[in-house]
Amino acid sequence: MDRMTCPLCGLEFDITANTRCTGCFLKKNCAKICCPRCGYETVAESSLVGLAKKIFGRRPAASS
Amino acid sequence: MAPVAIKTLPRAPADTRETSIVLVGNPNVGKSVIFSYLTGRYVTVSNYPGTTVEITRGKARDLGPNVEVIDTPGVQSLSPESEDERVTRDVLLSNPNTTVLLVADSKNARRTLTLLVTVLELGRPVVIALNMSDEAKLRGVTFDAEGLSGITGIEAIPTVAVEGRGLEKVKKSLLRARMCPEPVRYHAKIEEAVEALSEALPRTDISSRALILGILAGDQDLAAFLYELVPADFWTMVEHHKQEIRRACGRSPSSVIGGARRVWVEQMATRISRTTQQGAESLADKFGRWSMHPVWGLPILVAVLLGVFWFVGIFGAGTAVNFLENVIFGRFLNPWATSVVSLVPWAFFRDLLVGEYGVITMALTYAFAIVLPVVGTFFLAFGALEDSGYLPRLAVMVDRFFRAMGLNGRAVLPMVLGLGCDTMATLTTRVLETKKERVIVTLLLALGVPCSAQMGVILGMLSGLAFSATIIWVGIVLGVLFTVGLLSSKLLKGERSDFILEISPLRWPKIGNIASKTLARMEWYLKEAAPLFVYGTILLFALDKLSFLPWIERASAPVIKGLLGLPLEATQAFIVGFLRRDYGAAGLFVMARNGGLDSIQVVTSLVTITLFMPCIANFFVVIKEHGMKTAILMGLFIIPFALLIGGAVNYILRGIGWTG
Repeated sequence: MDRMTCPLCGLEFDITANTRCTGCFLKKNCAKICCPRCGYETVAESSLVGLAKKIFGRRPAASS
Repeated sequence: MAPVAIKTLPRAPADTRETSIVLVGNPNVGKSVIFSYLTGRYVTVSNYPGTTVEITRGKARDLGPNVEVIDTPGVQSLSPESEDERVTRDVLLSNPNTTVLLVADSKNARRTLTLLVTVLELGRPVVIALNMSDEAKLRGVTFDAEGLSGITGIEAIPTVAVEGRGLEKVKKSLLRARMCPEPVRYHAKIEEAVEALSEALPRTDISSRALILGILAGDQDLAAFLYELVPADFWTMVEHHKQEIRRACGRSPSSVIGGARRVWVEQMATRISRTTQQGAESLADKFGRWSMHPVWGLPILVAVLLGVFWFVGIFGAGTAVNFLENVIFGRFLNPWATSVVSLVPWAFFRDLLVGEYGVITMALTYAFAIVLPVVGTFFLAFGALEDSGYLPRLAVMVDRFFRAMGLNGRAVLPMVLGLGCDTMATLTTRVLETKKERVIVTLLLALGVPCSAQMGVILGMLSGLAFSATIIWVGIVLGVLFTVGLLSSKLLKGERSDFILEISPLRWPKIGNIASKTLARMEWYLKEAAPLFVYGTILLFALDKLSFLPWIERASAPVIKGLLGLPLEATQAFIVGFLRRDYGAAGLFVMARNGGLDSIQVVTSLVTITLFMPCIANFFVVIKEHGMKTAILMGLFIIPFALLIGGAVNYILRGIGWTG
């Protein structure tokens, strides 16, 4: 499970479904992560970065 | 009113062990190292029942048979304000025969004592491991372990866990751990309530003092836990005592309890902790300290804002917008889209896509060519501020500003969060105790706190004018906030916030991390804002096709032209501004770039649109939180108020002959 540190209050927490903001009708499109302690919102990883990691991040180790 | 029994306090999984040692501490203080020392190799990691919080358990070595060691997540307090804190509190309450090993950071006495006071009140035997004592010594921090033991009766042992120093002593101390269940003597009315309510409580293995203090402080989980265990008149007694406390202290019980704990922490910290300067303080440490200073913090804040302003204004609103609007969209995309759409045989659809109010030529051009580069550069700057550790320091500065106004300290958090997203910040007003407080802070948020996207577009527009325009805008917005805050502070009782911020050291942000965050924020922005830009444009298109738009413009002429001194076309910006303020601001941005607005008109329109409702999402959240009637009343106040202030700016600037 991914963990992150809140940039405002410093809390370390796991990113789960419960850390999503459910405040408004835009929530289906909202990719923000909400600190469970202070409520500060920051963003989850970009889907483009995630895709790039999938494609390039798991290269097999070069054989010696 | 009695709380509803929504759930019972979770119990630990049934086991036959007689004793448990629970490790508690702030994040990153070395609990896991000490846990490994106490348990050895074989541990189990599982989610605490009903949560996603992981708890690590292991069998203790050399501490007798059937002694279990439990490692809990890092917490700041046992308030509990997060799931981690709730789980830690529940582990401590639900395991009988528990000894608590508080693992503390020797460098930070106040943070340690803040957690210690709530742990002691649980009435469990406690031992304190003052970890990282070597780092404390290097920084010139002395933590008087014997002094702490002398005052509380609890053994406190300096340790360096990573080197195993002091851990054997800790292990031995756990066998003779002592309690200090009443570290703080509260106001007589609180003590009276604790005594009276304790008699009505059934016998449990949990300290009745801790339970009563939690209930008086408004802990809903504890109330739910007790709901079925106590007679119905217990809650009437609780309410009676709460009112007595309010009457005697002039504050809520939670504020009185929190205040007494803070006094204890301060007094203890002064007695047992000293900092002497060891060697030269690093520049980052000095800068970090200055940035929170009530005097030196202000020029640093101004310098940071200026840096962001120039970066967003010159690079974002200038270079990037020029390139995207004039080259990418102007030369390539829009002509190409127009030629493709010209093949469509129906003029109505051609207009809808590439006309004056076309989805491509207006909505997508605004979203991608104008707003995105501006908010993108703002997100870049904001990401750098986040990663540098400046934001908690900014929160401390803002806290001082609001306290100077006499506003409830708890209101500070939603205000700071509003700089990120007003909608989410409106939700966090739930932490405020009364409906009146929640409504006033929601109003302040909607009125004067622009979210990050709006701030980006506004800074971009202001950068095209003389710097005095920015000072006027900032001055007016702060002035409105200060005045409304001051008026509301007359209605609200001032109470200090219990919110604890982790002030981490200032550090250089990592470029890769900022770039990744900015990309994620831009993706989020496009997903959220672009559809609203399209809806807004379709609304303008429909109004235009039905010939309502000229009628609306004529009808609003006394306000838009007469009061605000703006061209009638600016009406459209205010119509879509209700969907999103930044969309409205983008329309004004385009008008200003095309020479349709002079400097006074830019400042007037920006002040007016800043004071508008932030966006339609925010309006719906206000309805959800406060009801339709309050939301409409709030809108009925905000819109005329924004227009009146805008009108005043227009007349005053013209009156004094300001030209920008």
